Order: sequence, then C-alpha cells, then structure tokens
Amino acid sequence: MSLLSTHGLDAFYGDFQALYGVNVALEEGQCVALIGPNGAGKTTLLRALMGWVPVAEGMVLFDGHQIGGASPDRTVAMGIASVPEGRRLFPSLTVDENLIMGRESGRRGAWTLDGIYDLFPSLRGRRGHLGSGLSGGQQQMVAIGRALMANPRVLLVDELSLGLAPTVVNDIARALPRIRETGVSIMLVEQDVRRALSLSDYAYCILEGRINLQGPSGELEFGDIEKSFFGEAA
Amino acid sequence: MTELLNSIIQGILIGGLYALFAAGLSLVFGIMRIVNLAHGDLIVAGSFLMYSAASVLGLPIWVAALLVLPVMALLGYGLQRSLINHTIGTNVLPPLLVTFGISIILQNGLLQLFTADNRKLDFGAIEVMSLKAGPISVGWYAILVFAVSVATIWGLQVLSFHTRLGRVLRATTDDPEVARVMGVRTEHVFGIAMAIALVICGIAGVLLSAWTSFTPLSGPSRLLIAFEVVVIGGLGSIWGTLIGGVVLGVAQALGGYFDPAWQTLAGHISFIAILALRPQGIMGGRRQ
Ligand SMILES: Nc1ncnc2c1ncn2[C@@H]1O[C@H](COP(=O)(O)OP(=O)(O)OP(=O)(O)O)[C@@H](O)[C@H]1O
Ligand SMILES: [Mg+2]
Repeated sequence: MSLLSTHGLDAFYGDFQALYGVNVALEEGQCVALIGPNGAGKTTLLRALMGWVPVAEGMVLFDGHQIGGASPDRTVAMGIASVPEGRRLFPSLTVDENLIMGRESGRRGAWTLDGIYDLFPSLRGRRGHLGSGLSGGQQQMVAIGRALMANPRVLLVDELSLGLAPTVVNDIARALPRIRETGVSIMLVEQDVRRALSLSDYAYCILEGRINLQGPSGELEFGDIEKSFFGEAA
Repeated sequence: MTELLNSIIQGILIGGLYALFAAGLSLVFGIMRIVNLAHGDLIVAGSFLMYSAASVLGLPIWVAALLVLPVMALLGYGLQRSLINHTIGTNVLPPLLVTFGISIILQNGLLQLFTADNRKLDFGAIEVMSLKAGPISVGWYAILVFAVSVATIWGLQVLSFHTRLGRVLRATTDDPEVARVMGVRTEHVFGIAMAIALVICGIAGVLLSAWTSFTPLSGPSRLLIAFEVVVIGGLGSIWGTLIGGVVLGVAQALGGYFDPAWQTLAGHISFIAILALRPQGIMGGRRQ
C-alpha cells in the first residue's frame, strides 16, 4: 500500500477544472517528481494533497486513510508538510521564528532548530534576520527547514530550483538525500527535467490536468518527456 | 502660558486612552484585513459592563473592572467564531455589513437596557486629586489612565514579540494561507485576536466610564477617534498607536485651548494633515 496516493483526483477552481482523474502514488521512503509545463496542474496536485484546494474525501489516501478535503492544518498534523510555491516565508518573522512556525503542527521528532542549521549551515549566521531580507536560495532553505520542523512523513516541495542560481540549487539538492535518510518521503515539483529525474525514483508528467507519462526516473526517455510536454506522448 | 502647558499635558494623557481605542482596531485589521465598524460600540459596551458591575451590582471598582475583561474576551471570541469568521474572504463587503449590523444591535440593545441617559461612574477621591508642580496641576486619574494605557500597549508589544501566541498572530498577519499550512487553525487565531482586541476595548471602556459621560450612542465617535489614531500612528505599529493617540490628544488640547469649539476640529485637522503629508502614518512602514 502506498503511503500517499490519489484516486481519480478531480480538482476545481470555481467552475474551472484543473485536474482530471489523476492517479499518483508515493511509496514510503521514495522521492517522486512531478514535471510538466506551466499551468499543467502540478501546484494544484500538491495543494489537493495538502488540502489547500477542496477535493472529495476518497480521492486522497494517506497511510490507509481517506483524507481528501481535510484542511491543511489537519494534513500537516497527520504528517504532510509543504514547501509552498514561491517559498512564502513570513516576511516579518526572523529566520528562527519562521522555522519555529513549523512546529505549530504539534508533531515532535528528530528535526530541531539545530538539525536544520546543520543541514543548511549558511542559515546559522542569519538566525535573527527577517525572512524578507534573505537571498532566494536562503529563503528556499528556510522554507524547507520550516516544513521539516513539522517532522513530516511526507514532504511536498513545489518548485525546488525556480529562480535560483545553479550553485545554490546544488547546495539545496544535496540536502534532499540527507532528508530522505531520516525517513521522509518526498514529492517534488521541478521545472528542470534532468534534475527532477536525477533526484527522484519515479516521475509523473502532467499536461493540462492529466498524467500523460509516468515511469521510474531512470527509465524515462528525455525525448518522450519532451513530447509529453507538447501533448504527443506515446 | 501655564494654562497652555496644562492643556498639552492633559492632551498627552488622554492620548494614552486614544491609543487603547486604536490598538484593538489595528490588531484586527492587521490580521484579518477587516474594519470592525462595531469597535466603538464595543468600547461603550465595556463602559456599560463596568456600569452594570459597579453601579447596578454594587461591586467594588477593582472587582468590577477585573470582571469586565474576561467577559469582553469571551464576547470577542464568540462574536468572531459565530459571526465574523463566516464573512472573511475575498470580498471586503460582508465583514463591513456584519460589523455594521453588530454596531446597530449593540446601540439599540444598550438603549433598551440602559435608556439614552448620560452615565458616568464615580471612582472616588482619585478623580479629584491632582499632582501639583508649581503652577502645573495634573489630575491623578488622568495619570492613572495614561499609565494603564502605556502598560497595556507595552503588554501587547511583549505578547506580540516574545510569546508563541504573538508569533502565531504575526505569522497569520503576514500570510494566513501559509500559517494554516504550518498547522495554525486560523479561525481560532482570529477568535483569539478579537478576544484580545475586546479586552483592550474593555480596558478603554472601564477607564472612560469615569473620565467622561457616555450613552449607548457614544460608540461611533470613539470609532472615529480609533480610526484617526491608527492612520496618524501608522498601521501595524503597536507603539505607533500610542504616538498617534498622543498626537491626536495634543492637537485636540491645543484646539480647545484657543477655542473650546475647536477641540474636535483640531483633532480632525491633525488627522488630515498626517494623511496628506505622511499617508503611511508616523511609524508606518517601519519594523520593530
Ligand atoms: N487560484 C486559482 N484560481 C483559478 N485558476 C487557477 C488558480 N490557480 C491555478 N489555476 C489554474 O489551474 C491550472 C493549473 O495551475 P497550477 O498552478 O496547478 O499549474 P502548475 O503546473 O503549477 O504551473 P506552474 O509551472 O506555472 O507553477 C492553470 O490553468 C491555472 O491557470
Ligand atoms: Mg506551480
């Protein structure tokens, strides 16, 4: 049984349907990548998993329980933590305070402030700085650290590398295996297809709200993915 | 000259009270982005609660005052969870309409219960005692009011920046959607914020109940003062409300010094002047 899965997931913004019958699954300990062009529905899928957009109860299963439609404060308490699109730190809170907000889920475990600063040492000197005053890369580190502070079983990451310099992305990407070692399963949205494949065990390609290609990351052909972006998948 | 100095001191001291009017309004606007049109009436409700406890039930002043605050807190949390939370969304109109409705209900309910008579509580000797320094004479009650106001504002500052609740309030003010993703039950936090706002209204209402007379219809003028103080001091700044209150109080005192009829007008002029010259307010756009 998968740790987290969707079953015929439909999602709507008002009258507009953003996802059509999506089936994805994340196994315990796995890292799954979601790839697809702008507006495909990647963010919407993550939001459906965390309860940010309303979906029917049976469409999302977590650890054997139907959780579709549970609000984000409840899904995070169950162990699904998120790095939202655009990182969205609390701008008037310091780095320390931003990280501590991750504890509001009430979940205690191995991740502590010190653990986060060991994972991202460059944040240590910025503890007292406001979230709004950090570089993009540091903001992403805080956003990841803040989610880890919830000691999640599943980490949803929307746009790991968007807008960041390659060296910074490397620093952040290096943290993912260390996060996985602690038993966290990851679902990752990533624009950079090669990086997405190298970081993940399994990948789904989404186009216009539907999965049109999927497979183990090592076996997916780059050319097929390119075609899937334009809707010509085999 | 002495009289002018006395007026200014009086203006500063009442400024503390004005800051209390504004602090709750600013807190609620900051976190929920709604203007609570019933805010002034809730201050008056605090005064009438004090009146009920002290004059009707005959409780000692201190007991009555301490009783008002938890009642106001419960009222705030209840109003928020049962009514106002349901109006919060993308549309700005529903919260305005609902809080306007609460305002009307409060005014008419208080009229029914207490009639339109002027009320004023008597806190005893402290009201007539004054501190004299040469030609300057300042009432002890005004000093007490100012001290309580500053202590309340300071307490709000400590709560905001040195407690878990304060951190959650500030995070929710920044981004309620992401706060919820962190596990914050925002509907509960909004309730707590309204409870805090109404405790401050309660403190203001208690202090005011012996300062000037009040009627069930005194609310809107209090709301106006609160609104002006928030704009003068700068939205989102806790100490800004104190500065805004003092500026408004002194402006009124100066106007009143030259001509009693000018008192209120001078306050409004200071408000318009700040709005024109520094729209973000004196402390606005700054971080503490
Ligand atoms: N809040 C919203 N209201 C209405 N429509 C929305 C909203 N958010 C997204 N959409 C629409 O839903 C569709 C899927 O959007 P989504 O943000 O999930 O795409 P995405 O794959 O994350 O894209 P990107 O790579 O640009 O982040 C798009 O057509 C988008 O316009
Ligand atoms: Mg997206």
